Amino acid sequence: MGNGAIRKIVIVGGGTAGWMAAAGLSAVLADSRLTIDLIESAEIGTVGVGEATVPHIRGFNAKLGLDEADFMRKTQATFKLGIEFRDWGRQGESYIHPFGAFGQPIGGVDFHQHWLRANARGEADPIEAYSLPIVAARLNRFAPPSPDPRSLGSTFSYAYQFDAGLYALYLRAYAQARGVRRTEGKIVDVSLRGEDGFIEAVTLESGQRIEGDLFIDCSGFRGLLIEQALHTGYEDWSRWLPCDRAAAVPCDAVEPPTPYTRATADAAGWRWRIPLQHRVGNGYVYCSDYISDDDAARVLVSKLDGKAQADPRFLRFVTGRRKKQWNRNCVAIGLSSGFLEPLESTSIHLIQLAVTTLLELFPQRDCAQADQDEYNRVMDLEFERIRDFLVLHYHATQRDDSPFWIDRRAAPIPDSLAYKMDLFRDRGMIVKYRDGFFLEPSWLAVYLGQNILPQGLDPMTDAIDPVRAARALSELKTAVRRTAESMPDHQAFIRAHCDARAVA
Amino acid sequence: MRSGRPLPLGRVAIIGGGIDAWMTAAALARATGGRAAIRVVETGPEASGARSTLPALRSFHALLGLDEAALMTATRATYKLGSRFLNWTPGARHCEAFGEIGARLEGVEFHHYWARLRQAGDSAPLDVFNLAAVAADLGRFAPPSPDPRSPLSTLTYGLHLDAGLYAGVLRDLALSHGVEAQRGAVAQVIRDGVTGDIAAVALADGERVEAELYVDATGPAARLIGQALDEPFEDWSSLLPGDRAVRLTAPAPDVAAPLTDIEAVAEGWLWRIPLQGALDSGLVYRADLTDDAAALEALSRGLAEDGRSEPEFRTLTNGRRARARVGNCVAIGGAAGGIETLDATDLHLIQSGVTRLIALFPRPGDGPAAAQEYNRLGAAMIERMRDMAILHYRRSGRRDGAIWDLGRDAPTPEALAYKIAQFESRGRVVMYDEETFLEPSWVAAFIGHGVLPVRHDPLADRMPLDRMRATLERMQAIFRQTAEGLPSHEQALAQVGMTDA
Repeated sequence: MGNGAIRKIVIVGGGTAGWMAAAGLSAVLADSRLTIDLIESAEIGTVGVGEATVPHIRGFNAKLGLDEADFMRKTQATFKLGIEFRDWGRQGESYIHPFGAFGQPIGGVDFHQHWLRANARGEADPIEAYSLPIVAARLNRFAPPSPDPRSLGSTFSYAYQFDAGLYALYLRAYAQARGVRRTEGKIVDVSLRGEDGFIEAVTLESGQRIEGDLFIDCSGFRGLLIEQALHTGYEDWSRWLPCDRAAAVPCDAVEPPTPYTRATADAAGWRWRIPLQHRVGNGYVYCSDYISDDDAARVLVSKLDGKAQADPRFLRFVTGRRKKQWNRNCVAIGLSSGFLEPLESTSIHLIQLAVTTLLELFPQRDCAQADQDEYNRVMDLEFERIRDFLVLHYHATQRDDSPFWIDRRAAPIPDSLAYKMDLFRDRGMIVKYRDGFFLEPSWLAVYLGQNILPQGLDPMTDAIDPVRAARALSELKTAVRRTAESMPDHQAFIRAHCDARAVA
Repeated sequence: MRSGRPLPLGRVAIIGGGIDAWMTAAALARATGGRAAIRVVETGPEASGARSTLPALRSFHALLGLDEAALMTATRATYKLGSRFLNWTPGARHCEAFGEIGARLEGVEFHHYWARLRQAGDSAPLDVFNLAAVAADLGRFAPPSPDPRSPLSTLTYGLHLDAGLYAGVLRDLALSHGVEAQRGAVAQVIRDGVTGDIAAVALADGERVEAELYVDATGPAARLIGQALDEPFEDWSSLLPGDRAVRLTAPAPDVAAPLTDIEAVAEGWLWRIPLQGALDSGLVYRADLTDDAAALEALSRGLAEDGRSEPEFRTLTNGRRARARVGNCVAIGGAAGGIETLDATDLHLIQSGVTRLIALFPRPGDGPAAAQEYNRLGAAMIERMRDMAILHYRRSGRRDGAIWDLGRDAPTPEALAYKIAQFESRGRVVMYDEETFLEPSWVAAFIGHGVLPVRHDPLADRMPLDRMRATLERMQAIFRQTAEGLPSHEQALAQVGMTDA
């Protein structure tokens, strides 16, 4: 029965995934009689593409007991109310995917149905006028949500934009203070146990051998343990998400940081822009079939706000997921578990979900098959639902200006996405499910933002007096505007609460 | 029908009777706000007996604007804190109560500590850590407290209702919202030659009922969707062994405890649903193993002779319509499917069906998407309910009746098998989409029916054993003390309606 409690956890790889895992595990397991080792090599760089987060990160930080202001100062963090998508539906267009709902139901019918009806009659403002986080974002304002659930100011959430390298360092200090042992070194050998193929130990270049009961593979794309040692296999999703490279470069900030991340569609992919306190993170995610590395780098650099702070770094990846995120006594967390482009800032979210799910299903030394099965079921579902949401961005486009976009329009989509889109096209209804990060407002933002308009409405909308609905819409718009305008300027709020320059 | 008023939502013809028809009519009338012409053709079946319901029904009542106190008075209702299962293994009893079990400690679900305590040799049953179960067992009741710090805030409740009276309340409500009603019998369902949709329902008196939407509320007979549209029925009789029921009502001067009793006997299982002044009892059995006379005898054991109603026999059909919505016809309630009423799910099936119909209301020229989604959600929901029902039989320790062997040995649907394996392995409660029952219900059902976790969450081991023992003992004492301080069920019922008066 379980053959006893885990005594030794070994995390292979530092970086965001490694240190989030170390911090998350040590926060919960600090009192247990187990040791946590983390092995990282200075020679092997970290990727750190995930500089933008989703609101769940606040739950993770709260579980660790982090002080928000301190964490923000030390990671150069800014606030994030959503993501702006530029040029996705058509060139010249912009919409924001907000962390918050678009209005409340009126007469039991979803707000957006009323908006759709009013919009069809030419009696509505653009949908974003009814979203507090969007209007605040456009005005460069930020204030934390109100704790009063009756207040409009409580109807949104927020996340952060931070320097993932600094976040890893911050969590490293946290984890080390809770007993995580850090070993510097490069792994040259992984030994498997004869009888069950479990990982027994890793050997470093120095000759040091580190044994463990449970191994967390945070080694990045190559999957040193999960793939190179255990040959777990990879499910390739590039037929749906064909971008396979990224170039990344930080640049000087020339304007106050926006409280949102920007993803701009470009001729062969899309570019991210993540404003931090001290700089702006930039990247171009592209498909190598359509553009060369040199051209991608040239485009990226030409679009920077300010002066580039380094030469572009290049990354290669294949979108998809490891066939088993947990195999034998090895759990892959971070890029070793799979890759989904950071279009919706899900990289860190997936790490977080992996850590919390592992804790929920924390095994004994035999890593019961039931624990692995359940972990893999939960993670697979999340990966698939994020995948569908990302594919929607590429599929719902009217662009015909470049071969890449022309091909995206024609490319096949997963059946599960086609089903969701059919229901939305039919009557503006969004498929709901129990698990999965992206909820109704997210889907709605992208559908409407990329010009997917339903052919009809929820017929129950007809049961609600249009005058009553129009009044509710107009009141909400006014209140949103007023509330957003009453919020402090984002930069000013940062300076007052979490200015990185105040770090001693 | 109303004249001169535009009907953008068209005409709805509800064919059938009882709660299936009137719950649909009342909810549609309320939601459509006079923009649909709703008509009920009462062909039967009528509602009879009592219904045990889930807490979710109360939010439905709130949507309908039904005052709970008035409703309870009108339907001889009593409160329900859960169901008590007796003798599913001889001598065993447990409660599947609404509300939470224990409390999360250090981020770990309570039942892991309970499992750990048990492994350490303590034998306190799970029920003593469930406030609702403790209160119900003591025959006490109080509505939930709005104060989140009070243990009473974790309570929630359902109702026991007289079905006929309840249908009557819903009927009155529907009529007051402009629903039209007539008695009738279906002579023929006329289908459109091209689309296969229902073009009209011809009644025995020669009238033709035409509508844009037809609701089949004819119960298991499924006069429209089954008999006329030939939509297949997915039969679950190999999964659930009960296929017939007998029930009767007897006077009960004393108010019973605020719970539904579900007692296993050799022939099947008995229900006892308390109403004000009456007790509705029934037996679910299997016709090829027990004949009606023997079933009635089993039901009658221990019941007083005086004032009993005539016994009523009924065939149960475990299963679901392959598609509950086909063309312009939607089956709601028994016509869409049913499962042994072990878990008070029959009203919930109607409620969820009509709620889903409102959310996915048909529109002229509709594509297939809305109907597909309606059917997908409905299938998932009834399957998860079915899994709960099957779970009850799976580990029964009874060896005195062939029905128990059938229940135990029946194949387990994959989704349930996975759930059982996960709980048994480590006390993990797997929740799928469209679950009716929340985690605590599953925990109580697993443990109550003998699916015990082999391991508990190792994170529950972080708490020293003596501290954990003390914490759990304190919790138990608080629940006991709280429950003992509550009014009796009888006092609580006497209060109904008084506070508003």
